[in-house]
Amino acid sequence: MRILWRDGASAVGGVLASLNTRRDRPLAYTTVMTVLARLHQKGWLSRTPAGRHFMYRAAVGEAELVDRSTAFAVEALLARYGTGALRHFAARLGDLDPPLREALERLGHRDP
Amino acid sequence: MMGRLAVVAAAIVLLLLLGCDVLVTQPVADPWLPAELALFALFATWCAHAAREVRISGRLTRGLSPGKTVGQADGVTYSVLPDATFQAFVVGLMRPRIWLSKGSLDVLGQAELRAVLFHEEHHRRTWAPMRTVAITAQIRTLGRIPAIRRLLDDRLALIETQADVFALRNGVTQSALARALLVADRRSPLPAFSGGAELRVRHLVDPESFRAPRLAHVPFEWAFLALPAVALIVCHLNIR
Repeated sequence: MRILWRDGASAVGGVLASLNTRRDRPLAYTTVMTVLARLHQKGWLSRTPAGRHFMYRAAVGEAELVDRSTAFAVEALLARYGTGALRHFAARLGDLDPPLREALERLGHRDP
Repeated sequence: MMGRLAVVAAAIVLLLLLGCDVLVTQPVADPWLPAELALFALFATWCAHAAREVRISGRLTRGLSPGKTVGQADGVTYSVLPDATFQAFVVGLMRPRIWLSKGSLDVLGQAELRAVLFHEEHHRRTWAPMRTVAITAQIRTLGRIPAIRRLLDDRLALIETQADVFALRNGVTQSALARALLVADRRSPLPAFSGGAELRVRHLVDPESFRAPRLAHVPFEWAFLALPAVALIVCHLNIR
């Protein structure tokens, strides 16, 4: 992602070359191609055909990417560890008797 | 499966550690020995369940790394989760922290935000996560007995109602609290246990005529800490 934010747009070969300048064991072309394809499927990248290749661009900025990936991690964390370890503000109102639910809704519509 | 085995193993180890003193020092004819062992067994089981909840709380607290973004409103400090869903909770046993998601900040008006913050602030000040761990461990230990389960559920529900009372005493209006609850219900992916809702809403809708369930004010969360003390006192009363 950093390479694409820096370069704007790049084909698989360009990303591969940039990545392999910093590696002792070079990555394979197919590996980078697969990762870029998956990032495109997830919506992180956009791509346009350019001859026989695709040109990839970042579809989100760095701040948004951090927020989105952190949000996914938070949701997974809360779903996994559930409600036992925390006090949550929300209450399950779906189980309320209808008259009580209606009274709550009327209260909510009252000013202020 | 591994979690359950760990709970059973921990309960057995604790029982052996706590019960060995009774087995070694007591006369063979101690008529209270079965009761003492039962109390120790209950305490050991509770400890094992509580330890599991403490571990979960620790993982959750470490996972929610304290934010780059911290907010404050009306003297209440909270951390912000970069999450689009509605999240508003307190987590952390020794240092409880309030967390609000971006999704909740986006949908709450100023009055509703105050309602949520003061409600959570009460939980933070009264160590509600720790009390919840204690009660949850009791539910796992004795919750199959309906009467005990009702008592413990009522206690959890009252903890929520007391937090609402704190919010109302700090200038939050009933209508703002009601709106916050309704918004949270529509948008939250993780509502609290269902038993708390009815008591909470009954209080909110008509606080003047609200009556808490009998015994709900009894701090059952600390009851299991008294068990080993009771068992040891009974043990020593029988030493000849």
